[in-house]
Amino acid sequence: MKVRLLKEEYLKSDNLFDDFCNNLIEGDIDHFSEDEYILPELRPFPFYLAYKDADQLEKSFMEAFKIIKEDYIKIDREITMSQQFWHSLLLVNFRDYVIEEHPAVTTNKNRFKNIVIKSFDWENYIYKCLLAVEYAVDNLPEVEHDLFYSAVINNLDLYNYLIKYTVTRNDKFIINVLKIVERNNLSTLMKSQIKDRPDLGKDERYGRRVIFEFNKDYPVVLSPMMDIDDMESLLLNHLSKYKS
Amino acid sequence: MGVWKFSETKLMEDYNFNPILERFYTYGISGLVRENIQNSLDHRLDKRKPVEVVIELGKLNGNDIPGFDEIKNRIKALMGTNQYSKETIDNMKAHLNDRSYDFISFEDKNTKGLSGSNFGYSVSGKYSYSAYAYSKGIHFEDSDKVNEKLRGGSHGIGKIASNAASILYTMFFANCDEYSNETLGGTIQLIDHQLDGKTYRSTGYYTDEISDKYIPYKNEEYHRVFHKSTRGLKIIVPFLRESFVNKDMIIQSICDSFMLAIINEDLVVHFNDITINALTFEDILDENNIFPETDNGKTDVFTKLYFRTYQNLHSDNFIISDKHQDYRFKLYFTYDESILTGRTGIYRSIGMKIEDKKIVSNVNKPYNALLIPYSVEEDVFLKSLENESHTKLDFSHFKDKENQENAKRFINNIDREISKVIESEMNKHNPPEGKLDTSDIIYDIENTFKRDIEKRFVELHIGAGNTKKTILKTSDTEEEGESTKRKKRKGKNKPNKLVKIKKDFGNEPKEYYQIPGSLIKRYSVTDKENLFINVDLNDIYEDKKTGNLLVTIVDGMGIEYPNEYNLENTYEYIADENTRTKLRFNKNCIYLINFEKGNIHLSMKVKNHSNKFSKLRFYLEV
Repeated sequence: MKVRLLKEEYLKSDNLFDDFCNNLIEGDIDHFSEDEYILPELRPFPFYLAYKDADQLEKSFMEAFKIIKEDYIKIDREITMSQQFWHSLLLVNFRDYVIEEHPAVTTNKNRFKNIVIKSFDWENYIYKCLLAVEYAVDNLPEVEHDLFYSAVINNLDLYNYLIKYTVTRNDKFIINVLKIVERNNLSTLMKSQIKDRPDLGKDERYGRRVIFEFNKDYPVVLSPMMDIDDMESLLLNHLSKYKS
Repeated sequence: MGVWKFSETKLMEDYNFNPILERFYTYGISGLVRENIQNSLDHRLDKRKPVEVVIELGKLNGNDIPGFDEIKNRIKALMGTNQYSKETIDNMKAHLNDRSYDFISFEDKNTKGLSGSNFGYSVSGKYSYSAYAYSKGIHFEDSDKVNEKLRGGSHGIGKIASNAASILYTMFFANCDEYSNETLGGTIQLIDHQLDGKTYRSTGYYTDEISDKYIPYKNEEYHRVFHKSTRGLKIIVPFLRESFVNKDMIIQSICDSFMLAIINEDLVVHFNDITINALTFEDILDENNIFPETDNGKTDVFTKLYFRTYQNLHSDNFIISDKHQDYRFKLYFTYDESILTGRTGIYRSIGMKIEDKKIVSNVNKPYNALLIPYSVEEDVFLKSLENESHTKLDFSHFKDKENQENAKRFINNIDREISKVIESEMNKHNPPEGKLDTSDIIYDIENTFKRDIEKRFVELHIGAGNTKKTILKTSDTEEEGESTKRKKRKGKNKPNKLVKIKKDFGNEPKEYYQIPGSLIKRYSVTDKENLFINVDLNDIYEDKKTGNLLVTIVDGMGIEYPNEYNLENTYEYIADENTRTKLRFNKNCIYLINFEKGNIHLSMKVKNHSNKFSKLRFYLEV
């Protein structure tokens, strides 16, 4: 399958939305850069996962994990970590799928921006899913993958917070944190708001504060190397500062 | 029958708001200003006198807005079927009982106004009133062909720009024609809806209906804002969106879009109590809140530059061609090293700017230019290239492949021709000087390379006696690149002085002295901790005897948190060793440390070790 990269400046241009709506991107050679990748056949997958319904959320995330693992994870990371690649893929190769799944993207420019050309960082669902699959494939035996994936889905708030910052965006650290949370049944607590501490700020959650405590300890780099049991007692200790 | 007329329909078909509304909304207040002033310029009456546009921004009570009760009932009846229309409708409903509403009006003078209002709806196409008031998406063609060609609007959707600016998608137009017929009309853009068991289409018209024919209301007894008593048209947008209520932005977009029309005395704009004409234009450009000076000189409003450039005619026979023929333009051009962003303003003959065009690979070149059509012929061609919002030359709206290719060729040729001018001007200002002797550089590189290699390797001795070997090993640390050199230099001059810095410890930002880490010593033995700050306080504070010390914490990424560290949770007591007294402290502040010995020495008793891995910073109150 051939994926031609759109020019960076074109991806930023004001015309992009109108051109997408009127299907004028693919036909115009001027929109494309010199770069193209010849890749094995790629299937589209749920790439915008802002679902409120828990079943729908889980189903879509799992489908995304599955297809990313089968089709995308083998591809060079230089490609899959590039915003230009994903935006080109969605705007051109997967245009029909995108519109079918999210009809609003052709009528509302903000929805278009939010769904199709969302910047490729921790807030982007593709980025979230891609990292999770990488972490699983690189670190866990096949049988544990699904368990890890459900831990991610179960603890999205915490997972988001972990991949947001460079110091905590570490595969082993994230896997261990999620394992500890799951085996201590802390998932609900970790994502709930801290209500009795007005001094902390408005939307503080137990999970985020615990990770912040890790982040405050010098030297921070040691946490990923810790044994999971040592880390467990440290994490519970951090948590005890907020919840007796 | 109500004052607002909606056609009945059997089926609900349109569940979505007209997408053009959303698009125009994104163009903001400047899109609205452009659209309305351009319409006024298009309908100029006496070519010897300027068109006048009076813009008023103000507030109206709900009951001063014609047919507001009916608008409310219609909106209450709307049912959104998708997220986007739901959001829009919810927002409309939330504003049905506001205490007052913002409005903006555009009244023009020395313009024709709409003709044939007394005939109401007509299919003949003879009168502009019918076309304007009762249909969307078309515009009335002026019977004067030259005039028709010079008109700015070519997509006929100007009116809907006004609807888009209104929270309730409502606009009114008061017309006064050459026979002094004063009428008031309006439109509202909703979605198909059901009311009292009947189904209605999305668009409502504010109009009377006499024996099945739409006839406008006479403009009598309405609020002052809706009056128009001299020949011309007045557009009133009630329920104006909050983000559109921006006086500076309105003035800025008038000046930016219509600079040429204004300075050539084709247009005068009155906005509240300000008059923008050829005489006042320059003064308004100098007003700082409207055209702010940017710190780095970069800006996306180029009006001032265009104004300057318009003094320098570069050529009045500047040729740009498409596939078939040549078009003649006037080019004004400035080359100035202090310009950071290079743009070419493309103007229509009516004096309206279409676009700040970026010339390919010249966007950061120090130039500014204006490109203006030489005659009607060029103007017509330019007009055909405009996108629907008149903000860009574009080819994608051409349906015919051949026309599209041709338009593309022309736009590319603009880039090419102007690039040539930029290049030749740049060469003129920076003449290339003969050949460059590069032998020195090569020698230098060779030498540096050699030195770098030598530095990167260290000698290692392995074994002893006879088996002793010397090998070369690269050192682990990164070697002296330019950047590490700079770092080292910085390291040598490590600040050992207090630096004044603004910090916010929860109340409001104040100045504090930040104490550099090099002056601080901390050590702890079991549950006792000592803190030395080795600084000459007498130097800093002339006659202050005591002061407060504040503590912040820094996380693993170097981000500082002023209100995060909690001294109260960490220490049982804190004592001043210089005076041997215990000190009062709260969460992040230690109070009244004695300065008389010149330095600070504190001792603390730790009650909670959980903070022992924290990285701290210290500040003294100024």
